[in-house]
Amino acid sequence: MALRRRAPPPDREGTSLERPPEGARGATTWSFALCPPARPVARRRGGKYDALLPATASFCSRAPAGVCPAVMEEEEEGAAEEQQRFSYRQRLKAAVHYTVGCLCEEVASDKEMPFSKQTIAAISELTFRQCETFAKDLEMFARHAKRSTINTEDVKLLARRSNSLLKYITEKNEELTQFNTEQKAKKKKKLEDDNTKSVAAAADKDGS
Amino acid sequence: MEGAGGGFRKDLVSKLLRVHFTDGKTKVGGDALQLMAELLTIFVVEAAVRSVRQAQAEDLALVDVDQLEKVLPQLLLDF
Repeated sequence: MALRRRAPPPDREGTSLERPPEGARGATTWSFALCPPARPVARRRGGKYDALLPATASFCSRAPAGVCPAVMEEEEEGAAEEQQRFSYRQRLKAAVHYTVGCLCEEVASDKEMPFSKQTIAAISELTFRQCETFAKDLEMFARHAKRSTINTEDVKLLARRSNSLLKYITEKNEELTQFNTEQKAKKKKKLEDDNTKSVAAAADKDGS
Repeated sequence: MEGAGGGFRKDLVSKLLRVHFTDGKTKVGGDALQLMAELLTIFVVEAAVRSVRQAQAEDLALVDVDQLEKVLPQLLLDF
């Protein structure tokens, strides 16, 4: 997994981050949600994270849609759609980032150990990428079972790698099914009660 | 690690998964969605807690990306 880094723009919040030297690991700004897609990220020479994957999902390295007026209609439409899809992904990532931030805040206050912004950003990027893997796996599992709806068995299969994780997910699943059956029983009981009440009310009316 | 007040909302999880589906007909069941939300919450919390433990082991006062990087391999192997 290639964690992309770039130097913070100079007018960022007045922290004591100086511009990191070339090739060194400096501060990353998590700016995907705030900055529009800019020029491609300059690859640092000797950067640690470059080589692994061939630029998959490099959300910060896409150039903006074509500006030249001589571009053909279809290309423009394609580019606009691309842009729309891209900004949709951006919004999703922003939502993930917010949720991850909340969870990390809870952990930080629980353990009394603060998180740096870059760490939270890295965890949200991590979660987003891992979601892609999860989604593809779940789809494959469902397709393998000749289904088009993903169900809890697929999720349990997804959690198989760690025993404690599998146990936890299985317990959660059982809690959920138990909760569902309780809800159904409650609804049924309520329906029966309503029925008997209405029958009793009708009988009273007839009687009186 | 139970009682995490925050957590992934079901609509967010649903959108996240649907973005990466290759087949348009694939859907996610309600229970499965809830389990996935739990799984993602656990993922984030595990990443956070393991990084904190790493920082504590290194006697640091702040959890930085370095600590996350060190716990990353085992985390990904466990998920």
